[in-house]
Amino acid sequence: MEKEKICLGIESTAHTFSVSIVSKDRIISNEKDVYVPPVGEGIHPYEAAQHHFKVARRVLQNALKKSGKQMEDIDVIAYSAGPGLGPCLRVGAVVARGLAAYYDKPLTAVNHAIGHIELANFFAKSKDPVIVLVSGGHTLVSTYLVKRWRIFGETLDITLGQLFDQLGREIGYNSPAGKHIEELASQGKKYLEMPYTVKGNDVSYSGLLTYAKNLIKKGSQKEDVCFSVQETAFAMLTEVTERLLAFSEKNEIILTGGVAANRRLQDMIKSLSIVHNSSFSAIPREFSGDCGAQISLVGLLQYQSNNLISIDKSLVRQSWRIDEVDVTWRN
Amino acid sequence: MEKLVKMGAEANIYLDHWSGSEVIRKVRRPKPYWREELDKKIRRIRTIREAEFLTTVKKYGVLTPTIYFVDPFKGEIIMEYINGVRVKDLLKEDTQRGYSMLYEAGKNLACMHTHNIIHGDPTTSNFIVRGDKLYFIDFGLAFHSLRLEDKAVDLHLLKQVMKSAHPEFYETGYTKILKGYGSVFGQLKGILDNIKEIERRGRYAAPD
Repeated sequence: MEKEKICLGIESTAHTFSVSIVSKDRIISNEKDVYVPPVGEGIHPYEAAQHHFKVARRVLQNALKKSGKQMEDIDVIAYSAGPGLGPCLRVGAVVARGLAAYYDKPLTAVNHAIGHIELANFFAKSKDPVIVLVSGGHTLVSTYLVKRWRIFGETLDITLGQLFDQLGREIGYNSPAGKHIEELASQGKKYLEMPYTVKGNDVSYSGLLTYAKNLIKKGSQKEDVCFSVQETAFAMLTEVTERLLAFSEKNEIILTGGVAANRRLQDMIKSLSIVHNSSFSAIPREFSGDCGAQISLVGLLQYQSNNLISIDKSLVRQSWRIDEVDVTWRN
Repeated sequence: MEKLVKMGAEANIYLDHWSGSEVIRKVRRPKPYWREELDKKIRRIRTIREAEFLTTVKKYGVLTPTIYFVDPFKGEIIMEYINGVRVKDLLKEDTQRGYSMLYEAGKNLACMHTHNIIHGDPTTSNFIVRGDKLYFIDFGLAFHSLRLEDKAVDLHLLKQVMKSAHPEFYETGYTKILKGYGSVFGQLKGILDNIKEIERRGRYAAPD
């Protein structure tokens, strides 16, 4: 019997430095260390990169140790090549190149967002789903068609993650603030009407953010503001999801990305799936945020479909949309 | 007996009878994920808007189904049944005809924009071909605007649909749309610059 193929993947697009080892049907290890900015501040790219350099060795060693594998057992090295913050991305790329060169392993460059998508598909065992990707970097609805994950609708300005982080900062939380916003929202009672902006299949959150920040400044109950922001922002996204579901005539919905952990958003999209007789699945909470598993998993798929990159071409791309990626592992 | 023909994103579409002819009854469903106050308001507003714009655009030569009855509180419109094929399907069945209908769609959109009406949801499933005529439907997101950017967003939406839903027909199709659009609307260059600007604001768009 042929030996099971194993991929080591490195994630370093933003806050998180993570290393994971996977085989075709198992996440063998997934170790991470997350940079936390000072209270009331957002992520500082260079400081995050410094953090990643400091923890890289330990995270890598832990991932190997927990998996019980040696570097010699690894078949391919994968790294998150974008989109993300340049200084952070370069850390992952440098580590990946070093390992590939020293141990003479093939290298593959993974799109971080595709990682969120395929990791969720891996858990849900979905076939032809409609994807709702919500995180600090992305807010979009997508489905697979002719060799690419197509973007059907997306935010025209800021993402859900940014909306929560920036609102959180106004209230006094550090990023990522999604968890705090969700907690406050669960104590909110009064629904305050807010700007609801759906343009065709796209949403816009910048007006909602300004409106909510002003309410906080004027002394509105922060619980009610968070509650109303969640209700409004999620309803907008659920509406465009419904539009894609109707347009594509598909019947599986997958929710993935950091914000997928939010219970209220899960409930809303679930209610939609019931109306449309579709299945619904959200990525498991522990894998919703950025992690190495999303990179190693896609890395393995790319390796098996001969989608590799040579070290001299292994650059990073701060801007890299999912619909620019040729999907080599799906029909 | 009425028959559910399609469950759209917002509304259920029934085939029904009205004074002896076949009609469409479009009912906007309550949305389980909208707060009750938001649900009532949005459904009522979109029903009124749709009825209003379906009628208004006829004046400018854009073909739409004729309206027979509107109940904004139930979110219900009864309108003419356009028994035709969606451009979404036509592109696959008869690509050349699909392209020429996209040219027409571009022209129609430009006619509306010339009169400061924004469709708000110009997708290939909202363009219906009956005989040799093209009909526009689904005006629930339509609005009035003088701003060039709103017109650009409208066209950008259609571009996005072509790119994501019809990648194999995107290049020729989008060119046809622009040709049709430019044959009516004088400020095509301004619109195209605006679309570039909108795309630049998008997430992870590579600057060109």
